[in-house]
Amino acid sequence: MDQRDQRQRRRGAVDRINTGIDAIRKTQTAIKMARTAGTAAEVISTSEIWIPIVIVVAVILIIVAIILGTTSGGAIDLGSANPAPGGGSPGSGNISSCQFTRAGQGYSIKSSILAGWITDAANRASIPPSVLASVAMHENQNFLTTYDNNSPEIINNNFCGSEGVSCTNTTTNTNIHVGACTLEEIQRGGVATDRHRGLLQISNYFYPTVNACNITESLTWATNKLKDYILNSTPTEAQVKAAITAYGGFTPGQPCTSHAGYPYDYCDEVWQDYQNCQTTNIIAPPISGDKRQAIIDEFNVTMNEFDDQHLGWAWEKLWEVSNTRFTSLIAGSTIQSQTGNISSQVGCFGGQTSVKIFQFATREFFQYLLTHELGHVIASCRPSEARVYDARNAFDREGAVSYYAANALHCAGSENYSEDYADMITYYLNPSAGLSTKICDDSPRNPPNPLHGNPILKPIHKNVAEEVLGNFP
Amino acid sequence: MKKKLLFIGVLIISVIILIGLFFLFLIPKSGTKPAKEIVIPTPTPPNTKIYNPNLKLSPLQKTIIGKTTDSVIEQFPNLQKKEVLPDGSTKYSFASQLISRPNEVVTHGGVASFEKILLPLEPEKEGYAKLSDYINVLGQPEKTIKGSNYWGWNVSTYVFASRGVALTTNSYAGLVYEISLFKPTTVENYIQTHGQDINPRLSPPNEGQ
Repeated sequence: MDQRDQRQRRRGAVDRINTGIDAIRKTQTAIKMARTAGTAAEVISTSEIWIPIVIVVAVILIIVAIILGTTSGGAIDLGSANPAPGGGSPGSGNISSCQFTRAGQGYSIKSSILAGWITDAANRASIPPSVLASVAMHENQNFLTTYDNNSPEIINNNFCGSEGVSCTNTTTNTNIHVGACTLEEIQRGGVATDRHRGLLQISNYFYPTVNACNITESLTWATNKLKDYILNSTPTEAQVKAAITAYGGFTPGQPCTSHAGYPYDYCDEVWQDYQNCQTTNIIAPPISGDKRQAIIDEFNVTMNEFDDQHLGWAWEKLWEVSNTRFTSLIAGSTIQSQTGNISSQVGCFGGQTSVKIFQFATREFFQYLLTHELGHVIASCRPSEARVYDARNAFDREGAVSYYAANALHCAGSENYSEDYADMITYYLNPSAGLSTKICDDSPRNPPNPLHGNPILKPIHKNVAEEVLGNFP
Repeated sequence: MKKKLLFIGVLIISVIILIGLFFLFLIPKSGTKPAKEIVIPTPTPPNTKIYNPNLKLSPLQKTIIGKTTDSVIEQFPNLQKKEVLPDGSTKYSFASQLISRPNEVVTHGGVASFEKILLPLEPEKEGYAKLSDYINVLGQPEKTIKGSNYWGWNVSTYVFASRGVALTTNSYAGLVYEISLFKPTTVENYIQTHGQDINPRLSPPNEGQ
């Protein structure tokens, strides 16, 4: 596992080397072409004139083809609005970076907020988010691939469209065919025309009380349905296919194409999607020698006067978030152990102290506050990349991300927007943390994480964090 | 010899075609429209005593204190509000990149007397310039004061009072968040008149307790 992680981290370097090799190959090709042209000059003295003309035209066509190829490739790259974070490639387990198939065609989830809701719903039930995402893609491909974070449906957490109609066996809860039941079928009995609503196409006949239009509620409902068959986060093929068979109303034991006129096997595709989007937990490799030096070597972060335990906690956290842009944004920082139990960001890079931090007793709070203070470093020292204006607008649109950020001026003599930014970063990178950076008079002691809960309390902040750091977890 | 000349001729024509194709790729596609330019009758040229002459200025950056008139200011894009202040001056507010921080121009006697505008942090945006670009034109500030109520304890105001310019800067990153233009004055008078955001008492907050 460790070696594989390291290979992923070094993939960027390998890609750059490959690019260099490609450039050398292209140069060699160009030299060969030039030689060909030189040869052509000699040929004309002994051959017909059409031969060099053909050669020159061929050379021009080749060069034009190369230019066209380069141009079109660049256009595709530029079209990608959200660059993949470091290591955020298919297989990383992050559903935002995975593709999900429908009828053999792969698609990505356009809204990061929706991807977060899917992940959160699945994680709460300990089923793979990729299975739920694949189900959603099959049930409503158009919504997943075209609706972004700014669409009213996402902002309002409400989507009722795309109602599907089928004729359903009311005894076995299996679909007989797409479209309403015929008069003959109804007269025979045991069937009903069913309507399927919302993102997850929830049956109105069998589940009339479920609020299918509420996206997060429908995701929770779907997760619970799948959970009847998928017992844990690493299900077998049989479990996944049984869950999809039940969910889709297919006949057990038969391919998931049997009744609905699907030109593809729903169950097979979900299983393939799950396999292609396997979660790879990033676990820090053990350090055999000097931990301080290992952190410098791996992350270009210097930690002065910390004990072995806190160096280990910092090492773990930096590894955990190393698939985001966080580690590159804070590279060059110097972190100084603080004797009083208070902490703050005091500078940037270049050998000066960036952050002073107390060696707090619990791992969770130390890692939480470390990422908070380094969040300040990103905002203060890399404002162009930090999207500080977007974060301030998020504050103005949906309020502060925490009680502390809303009251920093009175609570700590700080400035609310700055603390809001740092808390946004730390909540994003510590999904399980329900902590407060500083306890003010009326601070809630265990607030919910506003960027990873259900519902996500601050979706605009989460979107900004994602733009800055890339997808996480 | 004749054949060689013919070959060279074909080669030259081919190269010309190739260059033509190359430039064809550089021409924007017909579907893309150039950004609509805002016609500002006066003042031109831009104020080269403040801005680097090579900087592409936004319309608001073309304001000249004591010269730009109300009629010109009213044509600037994104005007949100116009209000008459108790002293009889007129304050114009324009939408900026920040919801909470509109750009402002104040006119007195029909001409601009004060302006404060937010600057972009992205190099590709119109009006972006590094702190060093301003220092190169303005020289060293007469006073630097660390601490801003809006931006935080680590943001400094560079005051060039006799030049009628103040910059709200992130000196760590070498960036300028805001520029204020006013009638040349003293540092003390600037702070008293326009320095409400300056707060040197701010310091890094103590967190974790």
